[in-house]
Amino acid sequence: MSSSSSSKMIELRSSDGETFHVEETVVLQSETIKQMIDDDCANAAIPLPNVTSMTLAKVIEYIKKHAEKPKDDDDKKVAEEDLKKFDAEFVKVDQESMLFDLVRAANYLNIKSLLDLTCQAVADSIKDLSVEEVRKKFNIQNDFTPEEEAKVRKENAWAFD
Amino acid sequence: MARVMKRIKLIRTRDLEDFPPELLHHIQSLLPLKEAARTSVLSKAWLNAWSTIPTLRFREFVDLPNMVQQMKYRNLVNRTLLRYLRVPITSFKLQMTVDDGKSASSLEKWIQQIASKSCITEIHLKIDIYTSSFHLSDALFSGENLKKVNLRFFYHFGGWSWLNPILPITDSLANVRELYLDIKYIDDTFPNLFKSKFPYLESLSLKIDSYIKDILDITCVSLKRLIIKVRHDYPFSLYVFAPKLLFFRYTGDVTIPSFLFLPVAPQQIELNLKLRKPIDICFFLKIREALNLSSKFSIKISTSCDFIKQFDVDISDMRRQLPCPATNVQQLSFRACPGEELWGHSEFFDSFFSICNPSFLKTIRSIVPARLERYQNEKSV
Repeated sequence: MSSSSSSKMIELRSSDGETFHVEETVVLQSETIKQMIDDDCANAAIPLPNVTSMTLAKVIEYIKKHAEKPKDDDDKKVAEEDLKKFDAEFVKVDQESMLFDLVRAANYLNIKSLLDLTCQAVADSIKDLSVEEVRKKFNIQNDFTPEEEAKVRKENAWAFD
Repeated sequence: MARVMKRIKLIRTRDLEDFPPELLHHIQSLLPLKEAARTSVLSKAWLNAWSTIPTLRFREFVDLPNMVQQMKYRNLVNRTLLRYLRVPITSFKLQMTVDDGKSASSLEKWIQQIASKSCITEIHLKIDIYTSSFHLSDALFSGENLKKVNLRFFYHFGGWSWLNPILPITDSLANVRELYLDIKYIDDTFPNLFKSKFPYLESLSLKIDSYIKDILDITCVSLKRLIIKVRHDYPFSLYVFAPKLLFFRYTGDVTIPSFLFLPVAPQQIELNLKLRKPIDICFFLKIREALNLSSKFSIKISTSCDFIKQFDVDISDMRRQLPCPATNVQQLSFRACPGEELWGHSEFFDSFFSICNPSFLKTIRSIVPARLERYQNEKSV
């Protein structure tokens, strides 16, 4: 774990008990944690009961990358491009469930840019799929009776032509 | 063993099932309208989310809807809005055709209902107008949290005879940060509106056919971004008083307005020019003069094959009249149709290099000029 002497380190504990040390300046991207720090609740490890260590590691990777500051204007353009590439790669995860966990974590930790990024990735993977394909891909239980489903389809017929 | 089991249970992967409605809303709002509506049959949770989504979008999917289709569509909007009377809507998008007094009054009523909601942050209206009986209510800007307004009004009647101000003269101050206006004409009440009624406006995009006065004066102390697009070639001067202005983009034809920025010019200026009418030395002198305004420039030229082939400006005469080429142009780009022989017409490109030494040069081959040529033909017929 690298640490710089100038920035305070914050300790985060995932739901499965693993602890992570992150610089305060980096972790402030999370509105939820920022609020805790402002309220002086961050002296001990911050428990994150809704986030697994696997997801938390990914989230930290994201906020660390997004905390990097470009030195000058020219550097800024390169950094923006680099960040775009990073974001695109970041949401290419092996399993859909990882993406959902990231959406939940971004929502819980209130990191707006990560929430937009991951929700957009979910939306992109829904696009161009049929209803059955989406259900299968995302493991969504169809809890409609056939009559109910027919009714919903009829009401939204314009969307199915 | 029990410990291991517990661990596995904790990090068990979960699915979309337990997503709270606000996350489903978020995903639905990022999907195109049809795809978003289709998610309503996935499961009850998705249907519930779709029925309560705070981003309302309405769009007619027929290009030229007949009376029955229009009636059905308006009924749908009306029913949905009634259902949402007490639901907090954050974003509202509506596309429709207004062709008689009845549809005009419906639209006025809907705008009033939506704009009065304190939770609304975004309003987008794209309206085709065939009647003079439509008047935009001054309630449009009244929402206390309204940040973004996007208005596109296409008038299919009257031409110059229609000179009423499109924007209502509101008595209260608007909280709007971002305003996009695509309208036919603006009149001289427009500058006053910006002077006093939009104290938080940061971004203004204005797309117009032309302006009825010689000077368009935009005074807005909070403004950071200004984008002006003029469809018809028409000479006018643009005076901008915006001390916080960082970025300005002008898109138009060969008649470049005179710009005056007070107290300072923005750091970055973009000129997008469509060349379809003949140009002369004055055109280049005008650009060269504009280049003195700001420290960073970007110039985009789009034109047609015929235009470049017929280009006839005496470069040596021009060089005598011009000061040395400007060095503050970061990018100069040319958009023209494919054709190898085109790039052989060096006088055209040389004239631009006589006014500036760009850091980057970009050439884009596109189908746009073909469209411009067609447009020219249509005009000449």
